[in-house]
Amino acid sequence: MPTATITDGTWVTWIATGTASTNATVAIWGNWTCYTSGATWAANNVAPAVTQIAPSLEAGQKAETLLRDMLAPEQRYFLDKMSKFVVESELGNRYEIRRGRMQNVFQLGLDGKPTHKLCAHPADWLPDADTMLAQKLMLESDEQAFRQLANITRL
Amino acid sequence: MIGTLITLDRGGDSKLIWDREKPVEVDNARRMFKDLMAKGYWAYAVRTNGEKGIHVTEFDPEAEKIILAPRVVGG
Repeated sequence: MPTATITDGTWVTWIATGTASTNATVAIWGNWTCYTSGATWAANNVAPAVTQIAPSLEAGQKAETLLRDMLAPEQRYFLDKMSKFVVESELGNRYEIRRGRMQNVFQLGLDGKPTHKLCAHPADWLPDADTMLAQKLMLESDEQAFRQLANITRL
Repeated sequence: MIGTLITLDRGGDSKLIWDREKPVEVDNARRMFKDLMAKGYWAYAVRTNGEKGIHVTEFDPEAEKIILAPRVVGG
């Protein structure tokens, strides 16, 4: 399986150790999907001609709409003003979910200040708003499972 | 009455709507639910406007809205 590394839309490395079928999906990075245009790349170990599908603004907008639908008015307010919102677990603990995908969940103390950082996110790449929604749903309904999966750092 | 299955994915989300009065549509939604659960997805019965979701493991044709999210992993 070839391995591709892309930064800011530019191919950085291409490691080819096999063969690819025409139009096979060879890399998914962020919201970019790259396809081989043929199978000739394997012979000389160079990056194949690729088609990069531009990041989908639509995906992010759909995710944002869904997240906002699932938030209470005050959560939407804080998301708009501060790019974060607070959820309360079934055990009464409060967590701040900041805009992002990783290292964006913080347990809050009684004074409202973050006490722990929890890193857990959906295994699949999702738009940030969908990631935040998945984190919200899991924290609210199964906090213990979230905590068991998360890497937790005391602040 | 209409139910909606929302799957979080790279495209933002995908929606499958079923009519509770139409067995074919209910079966279709149930099949998709089972397929994604088998792939490790987590399902939540939800309402809008900030109400907390409920973690569910079985498809409920009477649900108003079900969100399916890919399994969560530690980062």
